[in-house]
Formats: sequence, C-alpha cells, structure tokens
Amino acid sequence: MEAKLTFKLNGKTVSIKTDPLRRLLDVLRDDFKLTGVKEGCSEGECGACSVLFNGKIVTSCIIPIGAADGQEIMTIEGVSATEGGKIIVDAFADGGAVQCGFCIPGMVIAAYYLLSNNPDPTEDEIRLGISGNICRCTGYDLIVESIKLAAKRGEKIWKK
Amino acid sequence: MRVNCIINGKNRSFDVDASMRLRELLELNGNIAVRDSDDNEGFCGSDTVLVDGVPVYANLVLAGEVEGCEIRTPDGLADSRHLTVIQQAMIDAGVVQSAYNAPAAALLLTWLLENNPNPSKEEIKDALSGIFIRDAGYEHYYLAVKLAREKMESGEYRTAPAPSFRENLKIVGKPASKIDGPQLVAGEKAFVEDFVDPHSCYMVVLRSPHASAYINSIDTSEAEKVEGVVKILTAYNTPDTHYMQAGQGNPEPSPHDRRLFNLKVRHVGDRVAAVIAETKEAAEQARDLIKVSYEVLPAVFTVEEAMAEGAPLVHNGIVEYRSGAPADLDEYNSKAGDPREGKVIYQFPLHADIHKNIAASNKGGIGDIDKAFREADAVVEHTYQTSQIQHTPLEPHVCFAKMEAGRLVVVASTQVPYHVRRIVGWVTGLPENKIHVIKTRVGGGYGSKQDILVEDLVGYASYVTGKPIYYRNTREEEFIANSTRHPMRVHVKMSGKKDGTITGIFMEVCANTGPYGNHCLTVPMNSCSKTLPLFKCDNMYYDLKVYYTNTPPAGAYQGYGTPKGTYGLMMAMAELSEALGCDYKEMVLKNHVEEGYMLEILKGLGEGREGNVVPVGSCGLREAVLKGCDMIQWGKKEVSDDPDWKIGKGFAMIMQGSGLPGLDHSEAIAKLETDGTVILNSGGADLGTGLDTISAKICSEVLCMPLEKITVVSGDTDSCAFDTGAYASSGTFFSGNASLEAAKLLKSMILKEAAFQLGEKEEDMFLVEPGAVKSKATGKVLTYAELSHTACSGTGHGQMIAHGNFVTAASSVPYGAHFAQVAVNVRTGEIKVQKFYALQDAGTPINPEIALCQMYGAVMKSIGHSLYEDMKLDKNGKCINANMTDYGVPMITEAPEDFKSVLIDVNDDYGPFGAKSISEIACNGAAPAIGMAIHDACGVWLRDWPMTPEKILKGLGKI
Repeated sequence: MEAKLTFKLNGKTVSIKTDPLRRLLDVLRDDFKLTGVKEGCSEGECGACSVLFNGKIVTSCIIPIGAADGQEIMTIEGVSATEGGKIIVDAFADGGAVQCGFCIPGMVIAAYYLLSNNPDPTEDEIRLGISGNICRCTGYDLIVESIKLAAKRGEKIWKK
Repeated sequence: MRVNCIINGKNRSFDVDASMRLRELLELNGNIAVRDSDDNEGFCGSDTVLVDGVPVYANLVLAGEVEGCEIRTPDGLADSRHLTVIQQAMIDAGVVQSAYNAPAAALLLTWLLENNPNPSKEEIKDALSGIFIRDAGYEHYYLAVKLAREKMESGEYRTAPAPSFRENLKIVGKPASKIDGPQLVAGEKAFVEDFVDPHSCYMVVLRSPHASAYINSIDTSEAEKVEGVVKILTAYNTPDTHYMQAGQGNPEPSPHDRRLFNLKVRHVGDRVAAVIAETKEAAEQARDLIKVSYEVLPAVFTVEEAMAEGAPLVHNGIVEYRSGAPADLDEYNSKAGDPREGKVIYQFPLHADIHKNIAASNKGGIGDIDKAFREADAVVEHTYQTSQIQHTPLEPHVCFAKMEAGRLVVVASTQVPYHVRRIVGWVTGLPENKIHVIKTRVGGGYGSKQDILVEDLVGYASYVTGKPIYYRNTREEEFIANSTRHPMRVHVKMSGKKDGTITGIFMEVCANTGPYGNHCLTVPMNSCSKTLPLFKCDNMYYDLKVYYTNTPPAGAYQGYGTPKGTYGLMMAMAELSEALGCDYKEMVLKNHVEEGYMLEILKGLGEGREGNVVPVGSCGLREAVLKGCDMIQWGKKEVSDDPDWKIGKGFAMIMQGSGLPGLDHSEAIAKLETDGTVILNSGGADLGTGLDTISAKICSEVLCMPLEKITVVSGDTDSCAFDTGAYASSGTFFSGNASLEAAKLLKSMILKEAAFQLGEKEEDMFLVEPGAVKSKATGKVLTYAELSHTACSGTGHGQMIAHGNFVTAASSVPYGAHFAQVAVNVRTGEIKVQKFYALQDAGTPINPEIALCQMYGAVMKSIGHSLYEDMKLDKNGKCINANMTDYGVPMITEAPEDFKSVLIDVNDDYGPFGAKSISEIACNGAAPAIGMAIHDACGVWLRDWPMTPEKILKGLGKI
C-alpha cells in the first residue's frame, strides 16, 4: 500500500510515495537521511526522536508518516540552522551539556520550543520543558544551565 | 488509504486517514461497545478487541494496520436475546453492574475459554489484567468463569452464585438475573453517548490555568471566526444566577456560591468559556483562539494554608441568607471585596465565615469530655490525614441536550434526575414542565454523578442556541474539574479505663472542600455521624470545620465522609488499646452499640438542622465481629518463611445509613396493563447497582407474578414520579420501599376489582401464582389478564394504577466489620493485602449476588485510597497525575489473594422485606483495617493515607 504524501520539511516542500503507516522517524532517517533524529526507545518515552510538527514537539517514533501529509516538520537539522538554534547548540557546547550526545538533538528541539514560547524561563520551567527527554549521562544540571545561557545569549531573538 | 478487514465475520472495506485509530474505524462500523474511557491512554480496556485472535486496545492500533485482519468486538458475541453462556454467567455472578466495561470483559473471557477451556485463577487474572473494573470488583469474575464452565460441561450451574435468604419469600433474597444485564453485557445502546442525535453540535470548555485569578477580559473575536462555531458562552453572556451543583434535597445544606461562569476562577480547571460548534475539531480550534486576560491572585491549597492568619480568600463577595440571616450581615458585607467575587447565598446558616475561608462548621456532643479525659487510665491523641481521591467512573461525565417541541430534553448519566431538572430549571429559567430529564444507564457514578457538574451548562447551552449539543469530559477534566473525595484531617482524642471501657471521644475534623461548597457541611458531618454512633460512650464531642481552598473541587464520594472518620476513630481505638494494654477485639466487643441503645449523639448531627435521636435498630455488628475474628483467626500470629516479610492483622467496625430519614423521598407508580403485565414507573435512579431489579423483585413478590412480566421504567422525569435520587445509600431503602408501597396498593386494587367482577366479597380474594386472583369462597380464578381486560373494556372501571409514596422518620443502619491480613516487606516497604474479609449486615439482601459484588467493588475502591490513590498538585495547584496510569487505581493484580464478602443475616423492621443499604458502608473499613494490620506486622502506625512503601520505610527509620 502506497500513498503520495507532500509536506514541508525544514522549510522546503517535499513529496514522497510510501506506505503511510511507516514511522515518521524512519522516513526522516532512511528516506531523507536526516540522521540527527535519533531512535532511543521506540515508544515515545525518551524524546531522542523529537521533531517539531506544526511547531509543536512530537516524538517521531510514534507518528505514522501519513499523518504528515500537508503538515510542516522541522528536524534538528532545520532547527540548528536557525539563528536561535545556533545559539542553543553553542550554549550546549560551551556549557558542558554534552556527553555521549545521543539525547542532545531532542534536547535542543525541546530547548528551542521552550525559548520560542517562553523567552525567560525559570529553572522549574526549564526542567518542565525538558521533562520529556531522557539523558542518562549528565544528570541534567548542565543542560539546564546551558539552556539558561542560551536564554541569555539569545535574549533579543527569543523575545521577537 | 483503503483498508479491507473482517469484522465479526463480515468483510468490510474503509477509506481511512493514516492516523485514524482502529476504535474510530469500529465506531464508524457501528461497534458501539468498543468504547473509550481513558482518552486513548491504553489503561482501562474499554476499547478491547481481538485482532487475529489477540486482545488489543483498539485506541492504540492504527486503523491502517488491520489490513487483511480478522477483528472481533464485544458486540459481535451475541445480542441481548441470545446471550452466550459466558455473558449469562457474568450476569448471574453479579458482575454486570454499571457495566461500561462488561462487554469488553465478556470478550476477554470468551477469548480465554476458547483458547484454554480449563484456566487457573492465575490465567484468569492474566486475561483480565488489562481491564479496569471500578464497580463490582474482580472477585466474582472467577465465579463467572466457574459458572460458565459448569454450564458448558453439564448444561447447568452446579454452584449457587450467592447464598439465598428468607425461605418464606419466592424471589426477594434469591439470586436472579439483573433485569438490565442482557442489554449491558451484550454491549447494546445503553449510555448517553449511544443516544446522541446525528449532526449534533459539540461543546468544549476552556478552563483556567490559574488556581485563583480575576478575569479582566475575554476576547472571543478570533475564535468566533472559526467555521462551524455556533456560540461561545462566558461570564459576560450567561445568567447571573447563583446556584450550586450538589444534587441534594431542596433547600440544600450547601451554599449557592457559583454561577455558570464566574469572573473569578478558583481552581486550575475552573470554567472560563464554553464553545459550541458543529464539530469537535472546530470547537477545539476556537477554544485555542480565545484570549483571556487574568489578574492572577495568591491561592491556598490545604486547610492549614486556608486557616492561616491573612490567608488569601477563596470567596470574598456579598453573603446572603434565604433564611436565618445574622443581625450583623450588613457590617459583614461591608468587608466584601471585588465585585467579580460574586455572591455566597446560604439557604440556611451553615456556621460559615468566608472571611476565614470557612465554608461550614458544626460542633456538639454529649456528656463531660474533659472529666472523662481527666479520669481516664490512658488517653491517646493523634491526627489522621487523608488524600484527595477521584471516583474514576469508566464513563466520564457526559450529557446530551436538545430542544424538542419547545421543551428542553436532557439525556443524562446521573444519580439524581429530579435534582438535574430543578437545577437546569434554575439556570435556564424554565419551569419543570418544560424540561425532560432522561437518565440512561449510568457507566459508574459512586457519588460523582450525584452532582450536576455538566448538565447545567449543556442544558443551558442547548436552550440558548436551540441546538442539540453533546458534551463529554476528558479524563483529565474528570480529575481537575469534577468532584473528588474531600481531603480531611481527623484529629482524635480518646480515653479509656484499664478494663477496656472507652470513656471519652473527641473528634476534630478539618475538611477541604475545594473552591465551591458542594456537600461542604454534610460530607464532613458524616465523618462523625456515621462513626461516633458505633460506640456506647457517654462522653463524646465533635468539632468540624470545612475550608474553602483552590484545589480541584470536592463533593460526594461513596462513603460520604465516613471512610475518613472511620479511619481516624478505629485507628485511634487500636492505639488506645495498645496504650491500655487491652486486647483490641475485647475492647471492640465491650464498647460497640447494640439493638435498643439510645443514640443521644445524633441530636446535633442532622443535615443542617436538629438530628433525630433514635435507638439502634437491627444490628449485626457483634455477629460480624465474632465471625470475622474466627475467619481470620484473630490472635494467631502468622509468620512468613521470608524474614523480610512481616505479617499482621487488623479489623474495623463500620456503619452507614439507609437514606436520610425525614429528608429523602421516593415515589413509584405501578400500572396493570391490559394483558395482565405490570409497568412500574420508579422515580429511583439505578446507577448500575441493581435498583431496578430490586423494584421488579419487590413487585413480583407482592403480586405473585414472574419477574419477566414486570417492566421497570425509571429515572425519567416525564413518566415517573418524584424521587430525591440515588445517594446517601437510599436506593434500596427509599426507592425500594416506594415500589413496595405501589405494589401493595396495586394488589389491594386488584383484589377489590376482582371481588367486583366476580360479584363476591373482597375478603375472600387472594393472589395466586403466576398472576391471578382466586376466591376462597367459590374457588373461581380470574387471571390478571382477564381482570385488566374487563376493567379496560368499554364499561369497566379503568386501568388499575397505584401510586406509592415513601417517607419515613425511621433509620435503618447497616453495620459490619472489615478484616485485613497484610504482609509488609521491612526492607522495601512493600505492602500486600493477603486476606480481606468484608462482613456486613445488609438486612435482607434483595439481590444477594449483586450485593456481594458491590461489597467487593467498594472494598477495592477503598484499598485504592488506602494504598495507592492520591491526586498530587504542584505548587500552582495543577494536578500532575490527572490520568489513569499516573493516578494508579487498583487492577485485578492488586486484589487480595484471599478475598471474601459475607452477608450477615439480620432482618430489619423498616426496609422493604427487611433490606438495608449495602454499598457505601463497604468503603469504610479498608483503611483502618489495613492500617492496624500494618502496625501489627511491623510496629509502624501510618496515620495518613495512602499508606505507601515510602511511609513504611520512614516509619521504620530506614529513610
């Protein structure tokens, strides 16, 4: 069973003919080679495969690609190319937030969504903002600090 | 995309969206018994189907995945006239009660027995492990399997589903199939959602994100542009009528402290606006576009915060009294705050003080409590704290309303059809003759559907728009914007003599009613009035205060305050027995009340007025205690092979009421139809408890006719007569007695008419099976069919219609004792309920098999609040576990391994055929019984529920 699906991916309109029940995650990684999207738990729990779906965070491992028809998807590749995304990525690097790095694409997506909607979050709000993302290495503290740093560095961008 | 599959043996083909769920596809196919009770969470199992022979949650399967698959749904098993052996066995075992999940359970048991004709208890448990049952408990599911297997093997049951009572009666007190069982277990149209007209509008509610805030403005301009939006309701375009949502007798002992929409929101989840649109999607889209400006205010969440000096006030508006206004009211009102506060209107004084967040209070007692404490050999004083609990009925709060021929029709899942009509009348301004409330089957109530939590808004919305409107709470809304068990702090001081005599009891109750005062006086009062009368004690005093806070609202919940009071009092008694060095059992036997004991303590414990001082009536308390002690081998210390596990035992005395004497009121109308059958219009509201079956059995017994010749129509305000509703354990006692009155009157009309038609004397007439009048004098027999036909022919007296009206000052109290044996792991804190024995005196149990299941179900609910359930709020008052998985209700795997319900045989003088209430009382025993057993096991007194492993380890000093 195949369907022709058209959607916006990182700002560009793309089309694909595929089984609409394939996971969004697999299509992004295998067909579009967007391997920044990671597969962690495969059950929507760990947040490693997070992408923005019409501007909201979803875990791409539990979304059928058919649901993306006519919608707008942003992956870590798209986000980190934006001005705000760059600030977050740099802040993560400078702040020591990255150890093994597997969770980081999802963390960056979560931080980007948070700061876009709440430019000056409290620590509690930051922790809530990344509560859907599991990090096994860092114990989260340096990620939280890095997001604070990104909030400060990108003050003007986030408040736009 | 196209999907081809086989549904219940038929080839089907659908065009589906890639993200469509299998349940939605099945809904399109008309399989209504595949229901959703957890918003696609995959917890409750209402959406269970078989895909290629494997049970799955249809909400968690994409429709596209079933290409080429064979699907079986619960409604595919059989229709209600041709039930399968398993479906019939479920009814006969008594597990088909509110039954929202009964069809899914029938499918699972069918699947189990098809694959494993001789399953073990563990295998049955495993098959049912993914299905949540809140009403009947799980225990009789094992019996249902046993009965089904017996019938499959030998064509008949070899096991009696339940014991029988009263040899002199033919049908009352005997197991018999619940009359609405077939429709429910087969998964046919039964619930509100099954009666929604096609093309009805959908309503969603915008809820407050703040625990306390004034609304500065609401901008609906963008929302109104969404295509399909019909109307948006807010405080700015709805009536200024103050009312309350508690379904209580009028005038209510609850303050009228809310409007349809308020300009001050008082909890996270409070109503801000309602959007009515042609589709759910349009309504949700529009809701997201409503812009609200809030002035956020400080909030209070606990009674301690609410009572603190200078605490933020939950209500600070104008206070009015319908009667009994104090002389200084004007001065009191001069301190009122912002006009957006609204008003608080009392029907009569509740001893409230909103300037101190006090919603209601009461105190009183008998004897000299201080002297008792001074002269005692030991005094204990402790505080017991309870958590906020949600009822979690499988069917959430739901309503369908429409205008029909100039009248408002409200199709409701309610325990109180007549209170719904009255309150919807207040809100819309319609008189009662212009409102028709139709109670459908109720998919779980437990007190939460005693309150008019959605019907007010849906009814009003339909009236102002003229549109048919459907509304259904999400599961999250069930937690945050519904009703819950009042969290309470019960402080008990108790004194005794060395010989075990209890000399004094003081109970101080601080209850948290949340933002509105539904049941604010009466629930906390019940924690005293349904506990203190257990004791023969001359010195007792109670002092209760109820506080407004900004938590999710509290209200009525099965047990109605008594579970908390019982937890405090019985735990304190156990602690006193330890302090006195007395045996707890002996102390219980020495101090409990018995028949004839005058209950002076009740004088001050009326529902906002003077209470009735009455003697104890029929009472099976002592028998329950003695029998239970034998069963659990009280006094014998059990030892585990594993040194980490310590085992202990505990038990608690319990009581409740059977309706509210002098306040509750029930009526029924019995009509003899022209072929000699009977239609009984009962005002009572069967919420799955078997009340309609009780009415039918009573009628059958009185009129000497078979059950199938009696049809009960109930809960319909057009065709039935007034009834206050199913609450306060009144169903059997009040509505049952009304049916008894109607049946007796119809019997006398039948005898009189038969004498007339036969030309004989009335005193020679008597009734014979299966529905005829016989003459002692002549031996002539006139069947009801002949009698009624003649009465309704061109020259007759007309149809025989009897109206029964039941009110009483008599109080029939059920008693009982609940026993627990608990194992505690002293390394991990884990708690296992190994044994639970519930012994209760229900008078004559009219439906014994259903009565037993009500006890199992209630005990499971109370094991839930004792060990697991607790609504957690974050610091802003948002409930952080407002879903089934995180909240954690008990499933079959949490049921006690050895679980028995026992009916103590006592006849009551006032109940119909000697019946008393059965189910609410069964919520009262688990917490104190388990609490005592934990202490007996490991020496720790856990004085706040839920009693969790963490609290055990803290008590043991290990963390």
